[in-house]
Parts: sequence; C-alpha cells; structure tokens
Amino acid sequence: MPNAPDEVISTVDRSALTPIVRQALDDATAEVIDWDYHTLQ
Amino acid sequence: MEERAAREDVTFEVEGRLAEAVAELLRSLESEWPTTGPERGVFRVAGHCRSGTEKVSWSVILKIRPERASRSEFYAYQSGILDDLRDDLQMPICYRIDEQENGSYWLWLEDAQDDIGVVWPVERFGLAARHLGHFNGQCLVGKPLLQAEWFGRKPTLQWDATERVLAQLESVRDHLLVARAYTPENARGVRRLWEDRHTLLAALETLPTTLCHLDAQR
Repeated sequence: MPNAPDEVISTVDRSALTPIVRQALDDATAEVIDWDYHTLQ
Repeated sequence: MEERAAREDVTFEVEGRLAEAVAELLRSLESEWPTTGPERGVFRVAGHCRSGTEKVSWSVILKIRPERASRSEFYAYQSGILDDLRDDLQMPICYRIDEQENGSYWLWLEDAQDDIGVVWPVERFGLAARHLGHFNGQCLVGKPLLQAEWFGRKPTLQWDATERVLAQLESVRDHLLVARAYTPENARGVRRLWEDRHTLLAALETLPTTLCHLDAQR
C-alpha cells in the first residue's frame, strides 16, 4: 500500500475514474481522456 | 519609481518572513498534529473526457482518511441519514466510497463550488452560520432528533488532547503568526474559559441534546 499522497494518487487509473466521472457528469458513456490532481489539504 | 520599488521590496520581505513563519509553525506542529502525510489528504482530481462528440471538463474531490480517523463522514454518507437536509444546507454528493485493506477509506465527492470565490464577505459567513443554526436547532422545534451509534458526543469529557493543545499554544505564543491572533487578552480569555470548564460543562449537561456539525470552517 502506498504511503505518501503522491504515491496514493498514482494508483488511480482510468478504469477507477471512469465510473466516478460518469456519475459526476451524469453521462453513462463519458470516456476519460486525461486527468491531473492538486492537493487541497 | 524608486519609492515604489522600495515599497515592493518591503512587501516581498514581509511576505517572505510570513511564509517562513508559516512553514516553521507547521513544522513545529506537524509531528503531533499531522495535517498531511501517509494515507490522508484532500485532492482535486480534474481532467477531460469525451462525451459523445464533445470534449468536456470534469473535476471531483478525493478525500483520503486514515484508519485512525473518525469514521463519522464515512457513516454519514454510507447510511444516507443526512439525505433529507434542508435545501439551504447540502452535503456534496458522494460518488463512491472505497475502503482500503489498511483500514483507510477514500471518499469520491462532488467538487462543490460557489459563485463568490475564495474570499467570502462577512455577510455570506453570516448566512452560512444561519443555515448551520437551522440544522443544529431543528430537532428543538419539532423535528425528531436523528440518532445513530456512530454519532460522536460532545463534549467528550476527555480533555487530555485539549490540555495538550493549550500547552502547545502557550509554547508558541511569541511566534510571529500566533501572536497576531493569540493576543495576551485572548490568552487570558482562553485560560479563564479553561478554568471555568467544569461549571460550563455541568450547565451544558442540563440542556436538550441536539445534532451539530461541529467542524464547519472555511
């Protein structure tokens, strides 16, 4: 299991994000193209 | 022109000193009160996706909570107990909860944003306080008190942590940043409150129980 936040985030991949993004956009066919992140806390 | 340049130099120097002071203060507090670190953090994850023939932007919030953290937020979302909040106070939508093998959990949340921006005027804080007040007081005016085993109880009557925080606050009172907010007058007030805690807590015990958020901040 990764420890540092950067390591944690690096485990997130397209297959993990796709169902979440589809819910967020209310679009069951949306396909994730790219993503990035920044730390808020 | 020279005067302006001099003013800017002073500004940079002050900003630099403040930044150093913040970093120093955080370093001194981090070991006991970690705000970041292993298996915790809040992130905005954003990108693009293809929706039909269009390329659209998206963003979500990923909140990672360690095993040792309170699981109140986890249960609040999982149970749906707060789904019927009033329209003026809403929780961000939770898209998914991932429980990890090490006991930590990840909340994938709506990236809730307002139209005001980063700096709220005082009036907006007032409105938010009113909304929270409605929430905190609703069970006192007819609505049944929500009950759940995982609700915390405050005050907890376990004051070890508070005592440590107060001691730590005293130890950094002269720090550039702390001194700005924790003035001698404020320090006297905090000490007085601490000394009267048993009387105040006894009075609190006689009041009706209500459900409060207790962690509203901006």
